[in-house]
Amino acid sequence: MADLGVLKSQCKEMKLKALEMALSTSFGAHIGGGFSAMEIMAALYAVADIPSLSEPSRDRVILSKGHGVLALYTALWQNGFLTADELATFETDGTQFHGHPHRNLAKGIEFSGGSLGLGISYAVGVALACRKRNYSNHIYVVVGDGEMNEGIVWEALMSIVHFGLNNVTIIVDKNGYQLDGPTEEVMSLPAIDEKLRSFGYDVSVINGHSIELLLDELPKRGATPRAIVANTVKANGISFLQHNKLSHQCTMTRKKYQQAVDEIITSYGD
Amino acid sequence: METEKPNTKLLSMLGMAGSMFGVGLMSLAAERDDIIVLSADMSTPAGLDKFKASYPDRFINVGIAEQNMIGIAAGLADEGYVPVCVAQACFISMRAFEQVRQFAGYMNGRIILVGIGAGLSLQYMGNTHFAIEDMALMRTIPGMTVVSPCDAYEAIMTLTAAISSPGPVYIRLNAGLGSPVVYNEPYKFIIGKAHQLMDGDDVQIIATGSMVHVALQVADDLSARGVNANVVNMHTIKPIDDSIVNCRARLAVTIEEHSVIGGLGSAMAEVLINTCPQPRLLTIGVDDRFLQVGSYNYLLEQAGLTVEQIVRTIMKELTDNKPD
Repeated sequence: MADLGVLKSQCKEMKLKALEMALSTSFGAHIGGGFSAMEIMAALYAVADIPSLSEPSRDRVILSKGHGVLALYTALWQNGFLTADELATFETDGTQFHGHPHRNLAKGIEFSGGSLGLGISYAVGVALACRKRNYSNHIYVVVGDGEMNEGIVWEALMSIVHFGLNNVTIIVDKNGYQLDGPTEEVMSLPAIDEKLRSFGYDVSVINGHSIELLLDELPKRGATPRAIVANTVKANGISFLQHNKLSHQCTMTRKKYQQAVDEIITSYGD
Repeated sequence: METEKPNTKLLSMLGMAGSMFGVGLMSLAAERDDIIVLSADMSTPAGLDKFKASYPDRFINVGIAEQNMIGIAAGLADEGYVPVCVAQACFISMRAFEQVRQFAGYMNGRIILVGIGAGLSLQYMGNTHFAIEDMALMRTIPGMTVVSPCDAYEAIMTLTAAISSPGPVYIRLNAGLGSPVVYNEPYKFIIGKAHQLMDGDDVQIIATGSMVHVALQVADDLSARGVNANVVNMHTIKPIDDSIVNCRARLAVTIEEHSVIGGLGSAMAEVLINTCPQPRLLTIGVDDRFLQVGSYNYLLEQAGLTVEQIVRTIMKELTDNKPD
């Protein structure tokens, strides 16, 4: 596993690359939900055991909240699965790298996201198959708190515990926002941790921007399936987009881009 | 599975679903261990209890959650298994439509979907349980094959073919216990290849599912009136077999236990619009409405799907539109 300093600097590179990608597109990019998940994705790829992308018993990272795509692409890039040239095609005609991820095993993308709520359900099937084959691997699923409005999320959460799938860990990127505004205003979901506990999960609640805590929590295995509620900030680290619902999908001017870059660099103390 | 001479009477007594799962699936499962059956709380009505008892490790009941069932199946499919998802046709095609589009369509998951109780077969359960839109919906999904077998034997043949199909397949079952028998002898069933049951040049009747048996009776009746009907079992709605069109017939008639919008009738209209010379097309099925709930025959009557009604409709069409 990468050491903390290396991971922190990876995370910084991911954020700067994501800003560059956001600047490159006139269509707009999912900045908010990408930046809330940066540390989660960086830590996940540090913890996940992926000896090769074609290894059937590799750990799986399934991004259910497809709009977290900037964190996924940049984490795959930092881990050598995607090239900078490939990322430069982001949201261009004919690209493999859309505004939502498209399953592409050769590039490490396990799941076609975009339609919310579907990733956990898919992960249940993957986890059942891996267990049938007696793999000792693990399946990590990243879900958004807004995404949890969807009914199928709860169907899938129920079934993971029912089938005793201890090879699954759910990570909730709880950034408190969804497209139309704060989750408490749009569709409140109080005490996610309690809800998950009552469903039968072994739950931890942590600061989702702390790589240290993520590295502690992600490898934990319980007697029941694990869930980590990661408290995060949408568009974390970009002052003019934090706590701003417009960060969900937006474009970047050159000036705003520069401001965001400066803020990210400053936050890493360089 | 071998297509030896079927004991059609026995199979029909089990209904389409019972035959498919109680007989067909059991022998397929013995041959290959990658088949996994998922059910949305429907194992008993579908006749799956025997499979469940014989292969407990290959049976997954997801509860009343069709959407989750499709997602789970997709995960299994992408890991190399062949999932067979079983639920009521109305719920697997409508409640889980987007999951089917995402996982079987967009992500190209090799999932077999079996809709039981399709069409009007659930009678007094009412319109929530009818599936007269399922073929229309499934047909729109890129890469999806849609098959509507006509009897219990053909249902088994369909499942056998679907298991080896490279892509997703929706199998529509709409006949219950003691369902009519169309095939007393085995025939070479091929997905996408329609089967002509009677030859004739006046009218071509193209039917699917439960309506194939009805179409044969209609043809007998028409024959007594001096009209020679060509009868086609169009078991595969997608890809539709466009080679079966009889251009000598001046009238083509589609019969389906389904809405006239989007199903067999629409699929044939799409074929015939490019056919020359073009027979007139009469599409018989459920009109654009919800029916008054009742027995199976009561429902068929409202939809104009009884033998007598169909004969009358065809004769009127032939009289009203005599050739010059």
